[in-house]
This record gives sequence, C-alpha cells and structure tokens, in this order.
Amino acid sequence: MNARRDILEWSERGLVAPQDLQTALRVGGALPAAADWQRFVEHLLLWLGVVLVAAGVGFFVAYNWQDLGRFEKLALVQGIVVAALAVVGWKGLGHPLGKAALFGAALLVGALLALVGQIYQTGADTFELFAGWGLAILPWALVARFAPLWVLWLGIANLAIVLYYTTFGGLLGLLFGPERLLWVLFALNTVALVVWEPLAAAGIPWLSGRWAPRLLALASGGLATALAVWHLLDWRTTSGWGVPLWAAWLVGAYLAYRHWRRDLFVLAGGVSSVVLVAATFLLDHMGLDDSGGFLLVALAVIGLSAIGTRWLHAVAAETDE
Amino acid sequence: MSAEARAATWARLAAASLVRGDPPPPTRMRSPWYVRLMQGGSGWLGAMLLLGFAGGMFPDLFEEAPAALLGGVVACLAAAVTIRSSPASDFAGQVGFAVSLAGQALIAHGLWQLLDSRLAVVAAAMAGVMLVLFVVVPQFLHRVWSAWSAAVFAWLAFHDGGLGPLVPGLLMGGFVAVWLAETAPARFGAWLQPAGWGLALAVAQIPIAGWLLWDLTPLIDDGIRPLHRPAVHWAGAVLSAAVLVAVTVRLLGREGRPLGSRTGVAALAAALILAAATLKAPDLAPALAVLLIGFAVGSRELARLGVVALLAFLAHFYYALHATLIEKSLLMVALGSALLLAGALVRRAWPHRGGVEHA
Repeated sequence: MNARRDILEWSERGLVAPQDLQTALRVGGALPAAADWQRFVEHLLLWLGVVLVAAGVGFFVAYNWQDLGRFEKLALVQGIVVAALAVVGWKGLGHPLGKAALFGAALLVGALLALVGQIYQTGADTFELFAGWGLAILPWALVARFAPLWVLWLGIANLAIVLYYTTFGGLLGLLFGPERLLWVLFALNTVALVVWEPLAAAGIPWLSGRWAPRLLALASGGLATALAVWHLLDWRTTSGWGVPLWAAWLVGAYLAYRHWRRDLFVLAGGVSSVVLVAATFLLDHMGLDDSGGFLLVALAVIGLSAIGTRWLHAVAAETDE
Repeated sequence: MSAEARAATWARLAAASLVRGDPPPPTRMRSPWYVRLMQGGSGWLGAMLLLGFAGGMFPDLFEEAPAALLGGVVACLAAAVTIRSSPASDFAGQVGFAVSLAGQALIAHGLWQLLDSRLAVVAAAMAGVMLVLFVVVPQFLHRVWSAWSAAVFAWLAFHDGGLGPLVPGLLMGGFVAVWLAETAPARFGAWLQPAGWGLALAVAQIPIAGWLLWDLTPLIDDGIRPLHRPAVHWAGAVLSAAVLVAVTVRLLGREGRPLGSRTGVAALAAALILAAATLKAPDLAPALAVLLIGFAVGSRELARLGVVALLAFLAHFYYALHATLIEKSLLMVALGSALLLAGALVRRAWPHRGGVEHA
C-alpha cells in the first residue's frame, strides 16, 4: 500500500512524467485491480449487511413494540440467531460467510438477552446482561479462531466491568472506587495483550494482524497513564501504585516493542504517555500561579515530543518502516 | 522490508519504461500517522501551556481585541519563519506548530471580541485565516491541521447561518475531488496530500463527532439553536447521496467500466440503494465515502478511518432524533438484507477466478 506514496514522491521529484502518473500508479500496484475490487465489494456488502441487520434487530428490541406479542418477539430474534448459525453450519468457520454469520449471531445474542430481560422483567442489572452475553458467546469465540470475535468479547467484558463498578460505585464507593475500576480494566486488557502477543508470535495465522494487539496496547497503556496521572494529582487518596505501575508498563512496552516485536505504534503511544505524565508532574509541582512555570512546562512538552519524534524516526529507519 | 518493496515498485515501473536508472533513496523520513498524531497532541498541549504563559505575562492579550489579534498574528508569523528556516529540525517543527496553535487561538479570541461575538462571521473569518496559514506554513502536520480547521470553521459558519445540513455533502465533494486528483501537476502534491488528509478527518468527523457541533453551537450562541429549514435538510441529504453516486460513476470511469456494462449497472444499483438509505441515515454517506476512496486510492490508513467512521455511525445512529427507533430499525434491517442479497448476487454473477484479473 506504500507504493502510492513512493510513486507520488517520485512524481514530485520529476522522476515520473506527469502524463504517466496514472499509469505508474496502476503498474506499481498502488491502485486496486479488478479482483481486489471484487473482494472489497463482497466484503463490504457482507459485513455491512450483517452488522446492519444485527444492529437493526437490537434497535427493534429496544423499541419494545407493544403490538407484537412476547412469543413473536422471541421467535423473531431466536429465528434470526438460528438462521445465522445455520449459515455457519452450512459454510463452515473457514468461509468468510460463516465467520460473518457467527459474528452476527454473537451480536444478536445480546439483543436476545435484552429481550428476555425486557419481557420477563428479571430485575437483572445492566452489567449482568453484558456479563451473561460475554459468557454465552465465549464458546463461540473459543472455537471460531477469528480475531474480531475476540475483540468483540473483550469489548463486552470491558463494558460489563465498567457497568459493574458504576452500579456499585454509589453504594460501596469506598470499596469499589473508580481507581479500582481502572486497575481491573488495566489488568483485563494487559492480560489479554500478554496472552495475544506470544500466540501471534508463535505463528497462529488468525492472530497475525496487528490491529487487535495495538488496540489492546492502547487500552492497557491508556489506563496505566490515567492511573499515573491520577496518582500524581491526588496522591493522598489513591493507592500510591499508579506511577510505579506506569513505569513498569513503560519498561515492559519498551522491551517488548523495541527489541522483541518492533511496533512503532505502541512506541509512539509510549512517547505520548511520557509527555503527558511529565507535563502533569511538572505542572503539579510548579503550580498554576506562576506564568514562568507554564513556559517551562511548555518547553518541556515540546522538547520531549521532539526528542521522541527523533527517536521514533531512528527506530523506523532501522527497518525503513 | 519497505526498502525492498520500494525497489520492487521501481523495478515494475522501469520494466514498463515509466522510469529510468536506479531507484533513488527516499528524500525525507515519512512519519506514520500515529507519530504525527503524537506530535499533534503534544503540540496542542504545548500551545495551551504557552497561552497560559502569555496570559500571565501579558494580560492585555486576553482583554483587548487588537492586542490579541496582533499577538496572534506575530505568533503565527514567528511559527511560519521558524518552520521555514529549519524544515528538517524536529524541535523547530514542534516549537513552530505549538506557537502557531497558540497564535490561532489568540486570533480567534480577538476576532470574537472585535466582531461582537457573531459566530457565523467569526467562523468564516477563521476559516480564511486557516487557509492563509495552510499556504504560508510549509509543514505537513500543520497543513493537515489548517485544512481540517478551515473545514470545521466553514462548517460552523454554515451551521450558524442555517445551512449546516449542506456541509457534509460539500465536504465530501471536496474530499473526493482532492483524493482523486491523481493527475494534478506534481508540484501541487505538497498541498494536495495534507489537504486530502485534513478533509478526510473533517468528513470522517461527521459520523464520529458531528453531533458535538449541534450540541455546542447553542452553548456558544447564548442558547440559541440555529434554525435549519426542512428544505435545507433534504437538500443536504440529497447532496450527500448525489456525491456518493458521483464517486461511483467517477471510479467506474477510472477503471474503464462503461455505465451500461454488467459491472457498471451492478455498481450503480448498489450505489443508488446506499444513497437512498443515506437520505434517512445521512451520516452513513460520509463514512462510506471515506472507506470507498481509501480503497480506491490504495490508502490502507484512509480505508481504516472509513471503517472507524462506519462503526461510529452505527453507535450514534441509535441516539439520532430525526426518526423513531422502529423506523431506524426497519431501515437498518431492510438495508442490511438488501446488501446481503446484493452480495449473494455478486458472488453468483462473478465467481472468483484463480488468477488476478486486471481492470
């Protein structure tokens, strides 16, 4: 995909004649061929179709249409789930249609559980709905060998945890404070990342894409940064482990993504985190009353990000990323 | 890895007699988008802190409109000089970017005071300022920022003037025109690429955070929500849908597929179905446009931005107030079913072949 940037750069330097630019883009493989277009259209229609139908069913359940009886509603949603599973059985999990159908069924299970709660007034809290949803689709995620389904599962697990702590935050705020919520979310996403990366490195093909571990690293690093900032700003009421945890995360991320499995995305996130935590530390210690302090912190932020940019460029140059 | 890919691309062009000689070394380090995002975020934070310093040292900057304007212009000029004089320096680039952002904030503040807090006029003036900065400051990151800011300020001006619903279609048109201007003279490349990214961010922002504008404008404008007539709403929705169809026609032309061919008819039919759906789900059109153009020009980053915009559309559509939940539900199920059916027809009509077929 970088062929486009290369060819445009050569064109800017006069190495490709202006009248040949379009041909060069095509010959250089920068533009999709007919077969690529076909694959793209098929995937777009399939995935957009599946997600729209599943979301539409979710909206339908949320509307709580009174003119339709509870059995009809249950039959409708269950019928679509069964139909999706039938497609999975027909095409198999190795086929894109089977994968998309299973993903759609996994989304629809959430709508089905919401419908059950709506009809029978189970009194369940929202976090229980999400926890039940996660548990229900866990076997599918285990057998599907499909990264987006695991990301969906992790998203549901994160939501269930957030809703759990939101529910009990008011009642038992001292015990289930917001800091603990960040710790639990950090633990979940970090464990997921630590499990994912070695499996991907071991050569499991369906885990080879970088988008999912990057998403997990973003969540894990973002939460570690939030804990560190919180610690710095409110050290009297926090556990006092935010900054040590952040420092440990930073060292771990550096070793993992600089030396073991080079990933500039995570390293750039680490630089952003350092800039943010350093700015918080300096601002907290210099106070907001001194305008000279603002200048000093501004220069520190600019300097750190410039140094970080230079370092990232140097790392990128090693592999010409 | 990338050096090998570059050499392979060069070899293919050489074999087609499109280039001669050995492949040249890259002229500059090209930062990936996430490094630029880190630079942009740090620059923004630096600018806020610089404004804190300026406010403490020179209180008149925030109390007197002429002082704010003068300070802002001086800061932007200083930033332009810094970046122009040291184009290869990371530190100078970051200083210039942060100082320019601080200057822009001062100019916006000065204009707000000078123009009696009239949002549409101030926003239009700021859009002009950002266009000037786009030309004057020759830094990729700054140009992306300037293009995006100009688009957002223009959006605010239209929105406050009662023409907000037209903006998505207009932005999409500009975005598509810039990204498909592949045969434009090469000397415009330094402008087209950052302008394309700035517009891409503005277009993707419509489904991701467009609702923010609707919620924020009354706060800025003393609680008054701009009046948008139904005719303008419809004109905007039709414009966005028309851009989507026009993109399809343009891409069919680029791929050498006549509109009357089997491929042409199928693509046009799919585009019309999606365009019709966007009349009731307007934010779907910008997301689809970004995804489609991203794939068409071979930019993986742009295509991913389109996917993110699509997911944002789905998340936000639930809360959209222009239709009831049951209407939205029926629309989504109908559109989803139509797309699945269309996908089945495509697979039946064009079964995959073993080799790669070129257009």
